[in-house]
Amino acid sequence: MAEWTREGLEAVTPFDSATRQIGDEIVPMTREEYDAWIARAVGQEKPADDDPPEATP
Amino acid sequence: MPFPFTNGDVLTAADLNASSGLVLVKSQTITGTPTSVTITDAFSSTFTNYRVMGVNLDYSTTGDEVDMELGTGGVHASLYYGVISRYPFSGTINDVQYTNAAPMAISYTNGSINAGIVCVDIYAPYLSSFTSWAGTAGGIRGMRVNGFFNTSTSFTAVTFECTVGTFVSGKFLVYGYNDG
Repeated sequence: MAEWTREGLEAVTPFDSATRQIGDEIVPMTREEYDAWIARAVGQEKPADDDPPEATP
Repeated sequence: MPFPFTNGDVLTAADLNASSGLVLVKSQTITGTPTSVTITDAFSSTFTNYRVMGVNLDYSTTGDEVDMELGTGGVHASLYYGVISRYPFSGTINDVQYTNAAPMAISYTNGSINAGIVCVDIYAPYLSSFTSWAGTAGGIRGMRVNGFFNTSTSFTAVTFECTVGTFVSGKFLVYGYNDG
């Protein structure tokens, strides 16, 4: 089973686009927050390929 | 005045306060594409127990876990206990146990269907006591969750965080359980 790598995670959500919503406010993630967030997902199992195709509205 | 009310009854504030079940505390719409959403001012002394619902949730990824953390995100690295049951679209259903772990999964990301949901009851988050929760989530995959935070802490907020990717749209609703 494939796992998420740091490179893969950073490609999905680059640092300069990473934000958090706190209440109604959008706050850019700090480098420390971003690195901690990425680190938590490294090694996490990637979704299986047997998911259904995305729905068409 | 006993429920149900009838024509001609003169209702007092106490009657009305006692007649409501779930009371909407807050509605918070997702804006932008945040990796996490913190619902501020969700919990207070007004209610003891709460239901938090996420509706029409859309994400930038599909099939990755969404965590729930009490308070603001990125604070806790341990003290979460519980179990989740993962329900994939196909394949094997499995359970994962959390013991003194970082915030636990509560849902899956569901991209493009605009139909991801989270529904979790959170018990006593504002009280200086243990906080526990039980919930379900659905979409392309489903999840059942129960757990508790193993220390006495009062919380006013709760955070939902994508482990991979971001939220795209949707709304969170917080209801208080009226216990009279």
